[in-house]
Amino acid sequence: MSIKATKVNPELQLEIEQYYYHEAELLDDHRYEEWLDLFSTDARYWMPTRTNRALREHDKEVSVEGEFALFDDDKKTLGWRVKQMESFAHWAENPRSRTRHLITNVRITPANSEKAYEVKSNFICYRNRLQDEVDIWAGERIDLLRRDEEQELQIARRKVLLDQNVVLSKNLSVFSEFEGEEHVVSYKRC
Amino acid sequence: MSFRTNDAESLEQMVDWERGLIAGRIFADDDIYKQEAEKLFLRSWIFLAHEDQLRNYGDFLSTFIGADRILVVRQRDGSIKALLNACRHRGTIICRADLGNAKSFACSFHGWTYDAAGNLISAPNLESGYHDQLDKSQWGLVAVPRVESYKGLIFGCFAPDAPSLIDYLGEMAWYLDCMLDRREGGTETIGGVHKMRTRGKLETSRRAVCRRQLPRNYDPRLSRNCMGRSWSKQVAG
Repeated sequence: MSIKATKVNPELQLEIEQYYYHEAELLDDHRYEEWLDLFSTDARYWMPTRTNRALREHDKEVSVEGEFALFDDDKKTLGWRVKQMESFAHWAENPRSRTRHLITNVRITPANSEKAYEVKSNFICYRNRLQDEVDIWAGERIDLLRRDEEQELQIARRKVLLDQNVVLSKNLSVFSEFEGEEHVVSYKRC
Repeated sequence: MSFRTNDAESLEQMVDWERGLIAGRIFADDDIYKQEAEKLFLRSWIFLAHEDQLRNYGDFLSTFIGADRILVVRQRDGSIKALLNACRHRGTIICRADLGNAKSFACSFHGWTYDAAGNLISAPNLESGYHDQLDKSQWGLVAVPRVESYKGLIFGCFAPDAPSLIDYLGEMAWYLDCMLDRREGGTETIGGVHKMRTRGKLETSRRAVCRRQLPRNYDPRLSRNCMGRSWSKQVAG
């Protein structure tokens, strides 16, 4: 991506940043159904895995389409996760985690239509749970944001690059970047 | 209280045979873990990789037997070797990549270099550092002595006197067949790897991981999904 930050409309930059702050608030306040509403009906939510590679094979570090992913959801399966959160039967999130989602370095590129933008952002998510467990996740999100009929922004596609090889947390059970992968949740039940 | 578990009497105290109870510390005791690592894991056949993950000469994958790092490497003649991923010079890890293709592995510490079969092929300063007396043929990577496959699954075992893999699997092979024999073409892997760490002391947490991965059939609603997706895809014959 060429750096043309000065050419971004400041109002658009502000709008998208505020949109992300709103999203972060929904997550940190555990308002998951409202969070789910931010996604378009055809949304894709994908977090590939990463591996350590020799320098000469560095281009293979991130898993590709069709390979394993930490998340590979559409709106329906994201909805299942929200339902689980609301069901009081979410083993990893009972009691709930305390989180702060920090979204920064928002870089906007117009996508192929006037009403769509490819937006890269960086995140740090701090999570504290139970007595003394702390996780800090960092990474990048690459979103396709689209306007609906009412000109509201929607997340149509999200790719999350978690800056970890081995997932260092006991689970990925907080939204936005993370949620309880089914098998992770199943581990928790043992 | 320090509890010694390396004698039969202490272990006996942890089990109530009459009522069918065991002491809770059995699940978390580091001393028991160390004994398990030595007496069970170093003597058992341990799953290393799927043959499909190592299609070509030089394809390698980094994994573990217990706490030991193992490099599984496809050889020029098509066979598979499992090598201890530790330099014979100072014991450092010689390959820090998780997987890839390499015809040689050079230790990043002092440059000892091994070929795909684990033979030491070069070391710097052979004359000034080793007085030309380093017999390279004696300093290859330590190989896991037993490597056998079952329908595409590669296992390794450190015990020279262990039974063959098929005897070791015994009736468990029937359960593996349920997955592996569904199609004539067998199975192949899906790229990418899930890697999680559990927290706590290394010894106990490793054991916790093992335990958690074992009883996958406890809840078919969850584990069916997990097995189907995370294991392998069936290949039409």
